Amino acid sequence: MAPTVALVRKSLMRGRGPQRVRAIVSVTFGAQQAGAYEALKGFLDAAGGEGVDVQSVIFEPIMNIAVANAGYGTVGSVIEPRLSLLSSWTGFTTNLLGTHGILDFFKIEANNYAAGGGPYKRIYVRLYGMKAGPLFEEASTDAALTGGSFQVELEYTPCSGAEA
Amino acid sequence: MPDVTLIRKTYKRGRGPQRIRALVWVHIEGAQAWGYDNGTGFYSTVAGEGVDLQTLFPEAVLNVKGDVVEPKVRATTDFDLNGRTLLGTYCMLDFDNMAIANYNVGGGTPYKRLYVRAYGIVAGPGWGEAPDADPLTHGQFTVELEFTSMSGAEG
Repeated sequence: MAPTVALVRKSLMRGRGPQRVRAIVSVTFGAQQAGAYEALKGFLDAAGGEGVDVQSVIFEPIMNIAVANAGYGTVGSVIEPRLSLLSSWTGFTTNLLGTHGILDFFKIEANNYAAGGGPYKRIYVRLYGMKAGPLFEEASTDAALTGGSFQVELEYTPCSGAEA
Repeated sequence: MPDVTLIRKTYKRGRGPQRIRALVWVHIEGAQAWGYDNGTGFYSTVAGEGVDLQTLFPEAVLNVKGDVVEPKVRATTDFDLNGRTLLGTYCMLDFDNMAIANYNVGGGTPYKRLYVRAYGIVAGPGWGEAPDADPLTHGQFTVELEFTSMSGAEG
């Protein structure tokens, strides 16, 4: 089972151009909603898989252009606190030292239509902290993630123009 | 001229009148005199003077709020900041401030200087800032600025 994703809030965001939508999505891992973590990718739906799919809560086609290229890209942000207590994650051997790590939104990949394995909207959130050395590094890959949660804020442009 | 690109600038309703949000893409290129100054952050021409966005925002503004668009955690190799005193693979970008001179007073030139700094783990161990680096030849980041236009224009 994939981690649970829940839509906390989705509303039209006026003032950021036409049809700009903001959504706050919570992602929860549990014993029956296990996931995984893979260095360089982040939190995944399953070991060896891809980022957490939020298609079930953001099902409308959206613009998926990198923010560096245009003003229509999807902007993501981890809702604070982004300093995450390492002990709040169950079954996740991060190999990070100390008590906390830093959550950071990395990217979203969207495939709006059935062609090419879609539709999906995969978010990639990564966890960083201190490792022996000391070094500023990413959490280690772990295939068994059975507890923990975070929330992200996504801002995007729907292709349909609907307010969602 | 610094290499700065305005990605989007829009009227931001709901936070009071004339509140504007702008996304600015800062891209470092070897042809410019980019560097990093410990204490103030990335600069485009002169150490300590940040990245001047005056060409993008010629209007008089006040009350600027800034935020680095995620991912904030970046590989030090993205900015030539590796091989110095930051330890490990990553650093973390943080908006520090924006210094503004709206008018040409006393023979000076108006400016809007953006200061973004990079932090990471240093020997100790401790949490510290990147050291001076000159030149920087590559790298990029995006910041979101929110400000009030003194003219009332929507931008």
